[in-house]
Amino acid sequence: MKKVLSILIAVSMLLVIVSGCSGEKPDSTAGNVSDLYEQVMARFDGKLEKGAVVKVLENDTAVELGYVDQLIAAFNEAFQDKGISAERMNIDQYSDLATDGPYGYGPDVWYQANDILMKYADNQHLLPLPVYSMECYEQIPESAWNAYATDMNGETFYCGIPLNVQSGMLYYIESMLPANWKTEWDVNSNGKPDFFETYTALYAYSEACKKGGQTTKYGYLDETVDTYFMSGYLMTYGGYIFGDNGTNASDIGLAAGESYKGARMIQQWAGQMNNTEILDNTFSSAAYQYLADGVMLCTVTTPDVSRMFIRSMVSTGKWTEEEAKADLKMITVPRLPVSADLTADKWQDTVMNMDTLTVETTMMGGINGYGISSYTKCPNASLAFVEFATSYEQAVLRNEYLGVAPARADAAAKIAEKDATVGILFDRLDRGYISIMPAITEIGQLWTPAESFLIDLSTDPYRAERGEERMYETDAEIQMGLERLVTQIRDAIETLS
Amino acid sequence: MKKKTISVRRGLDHVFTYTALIIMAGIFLFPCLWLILASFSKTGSLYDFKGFFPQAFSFQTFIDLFTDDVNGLYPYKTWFFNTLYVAVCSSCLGTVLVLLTAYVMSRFRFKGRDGMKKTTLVLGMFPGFMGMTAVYIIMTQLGLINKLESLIFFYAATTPVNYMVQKGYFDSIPNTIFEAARLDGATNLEVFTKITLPLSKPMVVYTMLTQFAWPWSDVLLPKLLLKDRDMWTVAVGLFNLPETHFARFAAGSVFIAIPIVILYFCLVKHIVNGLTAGSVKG
Amino acid sequence: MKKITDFLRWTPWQVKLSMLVMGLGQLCYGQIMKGLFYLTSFGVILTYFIYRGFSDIIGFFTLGTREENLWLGIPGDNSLTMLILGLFAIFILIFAVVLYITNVKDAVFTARQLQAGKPIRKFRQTLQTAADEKFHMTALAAPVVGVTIFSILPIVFMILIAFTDLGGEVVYPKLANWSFAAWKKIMSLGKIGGTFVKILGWNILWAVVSTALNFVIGLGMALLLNKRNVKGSKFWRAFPVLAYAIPGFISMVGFKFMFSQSGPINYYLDEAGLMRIFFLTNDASAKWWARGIGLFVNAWITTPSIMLMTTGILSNINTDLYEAAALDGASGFAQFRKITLPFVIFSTTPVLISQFVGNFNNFGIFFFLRDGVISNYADYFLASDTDLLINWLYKLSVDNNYYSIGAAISLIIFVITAVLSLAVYVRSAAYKQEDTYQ
Repeated sequence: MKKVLSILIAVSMLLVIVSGCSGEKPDSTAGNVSDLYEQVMARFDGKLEKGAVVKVLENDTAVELGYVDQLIAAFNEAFQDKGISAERMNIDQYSDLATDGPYGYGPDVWYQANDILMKYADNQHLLPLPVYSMECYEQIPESAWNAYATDMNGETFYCGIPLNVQSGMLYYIESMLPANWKTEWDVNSNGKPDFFETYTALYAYSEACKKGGQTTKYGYLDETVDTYFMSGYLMTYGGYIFGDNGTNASDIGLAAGESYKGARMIQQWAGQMNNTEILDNTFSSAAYQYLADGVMLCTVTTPDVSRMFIRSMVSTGKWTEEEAKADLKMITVPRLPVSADLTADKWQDTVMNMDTLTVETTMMGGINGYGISSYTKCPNASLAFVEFATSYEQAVLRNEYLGVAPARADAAAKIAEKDATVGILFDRLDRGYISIMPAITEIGQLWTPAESFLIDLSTDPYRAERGEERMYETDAEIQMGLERLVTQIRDAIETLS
Repeated sequence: MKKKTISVRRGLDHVFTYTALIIMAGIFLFPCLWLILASFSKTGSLYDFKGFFPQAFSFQTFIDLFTDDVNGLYPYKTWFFNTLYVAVCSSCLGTVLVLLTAYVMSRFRFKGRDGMKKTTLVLGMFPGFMGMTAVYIIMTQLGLINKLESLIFFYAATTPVNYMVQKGYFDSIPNTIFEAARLDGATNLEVFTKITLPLSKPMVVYTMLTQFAWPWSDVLLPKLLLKDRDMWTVAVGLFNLPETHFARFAAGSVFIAIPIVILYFCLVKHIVNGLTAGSVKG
Repeated sequence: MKKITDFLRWTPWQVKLSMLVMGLGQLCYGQIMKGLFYLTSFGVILTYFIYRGFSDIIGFFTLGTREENLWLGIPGDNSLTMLILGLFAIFILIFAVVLYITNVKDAVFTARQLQAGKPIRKFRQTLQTAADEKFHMTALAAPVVGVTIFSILPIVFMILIAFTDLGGEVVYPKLANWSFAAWKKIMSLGKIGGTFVKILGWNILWAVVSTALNFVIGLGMALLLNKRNVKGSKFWRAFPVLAYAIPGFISMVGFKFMFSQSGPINYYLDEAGLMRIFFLTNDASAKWWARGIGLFVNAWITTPSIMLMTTGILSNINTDLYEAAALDGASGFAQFRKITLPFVIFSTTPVLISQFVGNFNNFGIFFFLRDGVISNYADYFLASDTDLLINWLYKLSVDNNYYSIGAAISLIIFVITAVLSLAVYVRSAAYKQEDTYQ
């Protein structure tokens, strides 16, 4: 009863607000701006709060590599005469805004991945931002904005400013390529190693590594149990996470289309790698060291950790910092076979007839960006900081420090001049091959069940060796496994709510 | 003939005893040794080890631990002194409170004593962290969030619930001593401070030590109450270290373990006495 | 009724004053310090209730009436805070009533003293009483206040949470209501009920096995170190003490790394040409490995303290008993079975009970060893197959914000452990003989 009452009150209040403010039409450059929008954005009146100190919570890696100190120093210098400043909030990067905010202990400005930030938008812990009037609005593609979109009374608001694109990239160290790759592994003579062009060829190369005599012990090694990177296999063949562009949690699409084909290939990889370390979620940290140590030739992970690889390379003593930077390469992920079987085609054929035998791999991705806490005492100063940090100059600088791929078109274009690989992500995002993580709270229930399924799937090739019964031998069994996964996620979302 | 079998049996007994001792020592020593070795790893990453052993050794991690806080992300020195402060204060305050409680529960018979006894028994059985939300909100109201005092108050204030061990010790002190003192006209306060406490040195030491050790290993509550990294305790800080900093974790662990281990070794006799007396009588 | 009117007729005006305003009567009797103390307390409590207390108590029942809208800047209520502050106000109310009664009693006491022709107590005398006859009350004041605020209040809060609909969708700024929804969900024996039964079974097994294991190993070590032919027992004892001294979470995280897929043990298995074993991985085959490792790690951490304790107890056994037994021709094992074991078990029953409760609610082991693992393959709902109830609770209430269901389950756990251990404890010899001094 109370709920109904409060909704009635809220609606009637809104009506009052709407009718009261209908006199003036906002003068906006971005087209339709409603009264509700005006009302919500009222606190961003552009008057910088004198003496305000913006508390900024940044990402640990960015702090560790010195970018954040630079950013804050630059902001403080630029805004010295306007009487506002910023300081880094030295708390856990996965702080809980819902616990801290109401009691006044959270950050004003928070940099995080979109799924983490948007968890707090549902309950209004994050402020919707006046994005249409911001300088970066035109520069950022719509798909990136959508990662921060949320709904209020049927109107779309954006609770974050996209800063960089995160998605799987293939990492390798150039000097570890086999010496004969130009003669043996470049049948289409395009100057790129074939095993980085299609997964079928990479599989063949990994098999060759297994036989020995190559520069590394393994070809491709990756955490086949990581939902973030592996869901791409399902999505390429018609799977998706939530329906309606990731907004409808009652439509879970992991078993949709022919996603079992993708799952089949994950299983093939797990069997090929024949290394149970990939089943542990600590593998992602081990990967830095393993790549540097030449355990494997390549792995797939996000661009923001490139410095971790470089650090590991330097720690081995074989590279200097400069050499490591030049030697570590980050490229787009290979294409997947139409046959959905990594061993069905001859790898040479897949490379020669890429258009007919392979498809572009869709990857899950995220958009990291800035959000402003609803509990901030200085919304305008915070907004000024966010605008500053998402400016062209800072986006380019952030890339220099951290190697991340900017979501701004101009910055991406600028960096792509020097380093074509960073442009790739922006391009993939633009063309829709990066499926952005849904921005609704229910996404939280995806990760662990999906990881459980992937572990189950990836251990399957070992079951025979261990004398256990295989669970996912046929396509039908895999399909059933996926459907069970969907049920589990649905249960987790619905049982308790 | 008989002598021989006895000496053979004795010899076998020796072999068996010392094998068992060596196995026991190995099981307890090895993990500690491993951590110590890891703390001297050169690259710092767990994944660079050949089995249990780092490939190259260096003292650098220990130096880094104190000199390089990675732009304020891992200020170990600050964590160390924070924890020391919390440990010392909560140990002193908590010991006073728990000894008072135990003494009263041991020596006095009053209305509500039985109820209190059962209540404390019951309180000890609640899963602690379920109350954490409440503790958090109470601390926000007291303005103690992000302050080390919040931990001190909490640790000290909740210790009296576990007064049983101390009470057992007081129970074991012969009653005649107290009666003699009372006959001499000493007040109950005097009996407590001038007679009971001096007699209970092992118990006091044991209590202080267990109280002192607790803040070094509690992770959940400080994580909730302390926000700034500069305010964290060692346990929170080490727990939040990423795996790529395994050597730092190991070095940090070794460093805090040293003072506690030394304390335990010096006071092991008191611990045995305290534990024993506390357990003999509930 | 008559008693009350009699009492009122009898009481002098000072007592009536005290009944009206705390401390006034004492002041009129000339007990300045005491009067001021009561008066100030009265003032403080009254001010508190006028400014906060009453509305807090009302808030306790409504749990908020206005929903906050953070975007539009409309202020509102926070149910969680209101619940706690309301509870706090109720505690203060109880305290105020208790204080009021002592105040009236004190005034009556003074009145009786006067009637009997005895002098009025001076403040110094009151202090003396506090240090002597009423020492138990004085000494317990601080512990009771501390425990009430930081232990009882949170627990009562938790119990109350079980009867609200807090959690899931209903979190701040949404308002909560009093409700039995959580209990209905548990009783309906769906996903939650099934998981609960499964975890409960393992939890009981774990508590029994780990308590027994720790006790046996600890006692075994103590006996081993106590053997007459052991030279340098202090030296040997140092190893377990080392393990005892290292903060528990360090040991646990260390063991987690040791048994991880890329950890040293699997490395050696690999080098030896064997299959790597899923010790702690999120896989069905890891179930018993992880449980076994949990038992081992728990023993590694706990047995040293049991060893130290039993060492002390063993030294308390009267050696005459053994000599007599040896004369009767009892073997070493018979001596152990007939003398040592009964004595040790008798002495340590309370410790065993607290060990059992501690193990039943042993949060750390699987929190540190298998952080974030959820076993979906075995139909566990938001839990892993090694989780104890308390770990499941944590995942439900802290990781997933299902406060009310978590609270309801912890209430059930509590009832189980409390009934079990109270039953054992009250029967134990140590409890029954409690009141006999040595």
